[in-house]
Amino acid sequence: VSDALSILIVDDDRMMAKTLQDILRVNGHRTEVAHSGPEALEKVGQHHLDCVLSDIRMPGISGVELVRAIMAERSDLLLILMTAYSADSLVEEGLEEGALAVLSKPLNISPLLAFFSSVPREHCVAIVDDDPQFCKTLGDILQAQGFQVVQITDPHGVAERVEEHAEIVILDVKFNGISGLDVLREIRELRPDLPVIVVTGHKDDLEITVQRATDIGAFASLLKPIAVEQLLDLLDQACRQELTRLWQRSVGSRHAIHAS
Amino acid sequence: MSENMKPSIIDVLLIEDSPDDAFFIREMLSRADEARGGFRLTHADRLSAGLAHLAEHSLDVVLLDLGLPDSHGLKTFGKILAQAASVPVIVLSGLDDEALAVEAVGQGAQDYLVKGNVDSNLLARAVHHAIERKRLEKEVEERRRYLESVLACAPDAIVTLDTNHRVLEWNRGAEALFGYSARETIGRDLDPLVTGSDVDERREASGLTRRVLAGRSIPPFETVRYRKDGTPVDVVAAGSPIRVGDELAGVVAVYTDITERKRAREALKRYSERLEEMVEERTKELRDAQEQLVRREKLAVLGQLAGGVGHELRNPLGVISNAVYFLQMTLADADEATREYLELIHAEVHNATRIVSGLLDYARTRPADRQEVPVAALVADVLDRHPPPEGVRVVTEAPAALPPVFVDPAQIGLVQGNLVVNAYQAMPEGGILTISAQTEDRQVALSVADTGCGISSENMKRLFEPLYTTKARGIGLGLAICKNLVEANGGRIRVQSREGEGSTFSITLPTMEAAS
Repeated sequence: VSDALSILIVDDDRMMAKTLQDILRVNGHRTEVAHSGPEALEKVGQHHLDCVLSDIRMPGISGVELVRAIMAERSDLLLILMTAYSADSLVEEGLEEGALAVLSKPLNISPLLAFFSSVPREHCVAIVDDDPQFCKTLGDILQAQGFQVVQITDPHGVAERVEEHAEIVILDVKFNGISGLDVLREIRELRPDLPVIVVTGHKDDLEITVQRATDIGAFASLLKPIAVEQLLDLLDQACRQELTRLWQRSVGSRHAIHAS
Repeated sequence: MSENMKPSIIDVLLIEDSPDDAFFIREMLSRADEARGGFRLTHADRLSAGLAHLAEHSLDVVLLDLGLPDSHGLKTFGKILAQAASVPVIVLSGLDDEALAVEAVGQGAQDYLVKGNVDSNLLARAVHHAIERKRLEKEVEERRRYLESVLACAPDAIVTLDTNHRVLEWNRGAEALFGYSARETIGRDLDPLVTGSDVDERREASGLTRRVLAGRSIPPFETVRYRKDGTPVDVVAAGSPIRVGDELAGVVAVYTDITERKRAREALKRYSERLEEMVEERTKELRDAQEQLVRREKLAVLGQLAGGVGHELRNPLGVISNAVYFLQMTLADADEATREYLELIHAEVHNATRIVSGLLDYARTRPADRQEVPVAALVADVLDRHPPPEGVRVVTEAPAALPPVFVDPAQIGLVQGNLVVNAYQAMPEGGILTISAQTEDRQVALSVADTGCGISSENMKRLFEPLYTTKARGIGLGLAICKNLVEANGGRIRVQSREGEGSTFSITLPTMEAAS
């Protein structure tokens, strides 16, 4: 069950900010409000936020510039823009800079609330490796980064367990006698959209493994020992992909325009 | 003439076979007229010798005996005349052949003298007179020839008539203009020749001739005369009386062919008329262009205004929308009336948003993002988005093999949506909506027909104007947007309607082939 989110509402229209704040609060989310870009950046630094919901056109710093600034600091933050302009040149820019979506005003609140309630409070990563040491050390690192971690060392029923818990899977292709690629195939059958990062210790057959894993639908492939920065980057991308999927399920297009 | 007044010797050739007569004449001439310079006589006793002398010498006068050993009678004169027509000839006759001499004078001899009845003075005078008369005769002849050639050279038809309207002169210009030769016309009444069969025309022409014969000139006037072959010819005609002394001798009529002039004048007239037309057309074009420009400017301003207002309204609408949402959440347990009112506000905010979106669609200047779209997909999509209300049956008619249209699917989808919703609204009591498609010269015509109330001819005119609406609710942008979008996609929009029977809106969309 997803927890309430901590959401920063940014709009120079105070009534817009207030009404949104009240709606989100009533729905159990924690909210902060800012009426300008600089104020928003200040709040991003002060509070532990999950999401920023910002108007795109504001005096001074625009929503797009705000997105750019936040992405540099907190790329894990969920960023959603709002616009009163249906054909806004800033819309595309905002999406390119890293906003998850751009909504038209007046907002269609219900799908937005549905999305927020589906957003996981923490991202759960399953590490599937028959080496307990590897699992533990990587698990500690990821936990420290704020991920919830499930370690799977038992080769049986991997796919089912992963499906139940994880949003992201880190999978060793040499897995206790079974081919990791078979496990990958099983996971994809159960959860076609679940991002799986394949790791291998054998540099020699890296290319073949990567090729096969990509063919089956792996999110990415890494060589042991894992470069943590690179892994975190991939996890970040995988999280965004997952959020986009959730968004599309709840709201629809990333650029939701009111049909006339 | 002055040359002849000078004292000079007169060269005389005497052709006379009688030595006695020759002697007497020589005697007489030698005694006569010495003051003026006298005579130089050459004598030939045969015609042949005379002709030979004439051939080689310039002579002033010939004295000729008609009866010579080698020639007799008028023949003798004829031969001299044939050889030297310009030399005056005085015939010498005896008492017995005077009649013959008179005849020679009739044929061109200047004079005759009866031998034996001549004295010195008479002879000298006769010689002088003969020379002078011949000179005058020549002058008159030259003058006549000169006038004749003037007449001949004149480009106009010049005709002279006697007092009985009979043609006397018919120059080459007249031959060319009327097609009659001089021989055909001389001596005939002019008017029937050059007027048509129309009685009035003929009467007018002879009236004019009579007026001229009464002594009045007819100044040039434009009229029509007829050629020998009956074809009419435009002329300027003028007539003047010919007076010899105080006496009226006839009429001179001049006709100038003005066919070319008239043709040129008419061409000029036509051109000037055409010019007026062209100026008028151009003025109209300019006026239309001006109106079009004003209209476009108005629309552009309207577009800006619509866009601005639309955006400005979206923020307050957003707040109201949020507020209603909040109240609906927190007042979930409120009484029915409150909940009903909240729902009402919610619905109206939705309506207002729709209107604002219309304004923004109208103001939107996004260029068409054109691609090949199957027509069936466009139709299916619009019916999917706008399912028919109760009572409306939808019929689609389209041939299986329609080429895809080359348009912006979102923009044309919006157009189709507007047309379909309009059609539904035109049939509040229900009816049939027919969506049909057909190819039309590398284009596809897509029509949306309803069986609704139809459109009055008054409304038809302004149908596509922005802010023109017949609906109680609506701001009249739907069809203006449709027109803009269809035109932005290289198409056209048309409407046919019959009041009480229904309306058909057709949009013609280009295929890839037509667009390239």
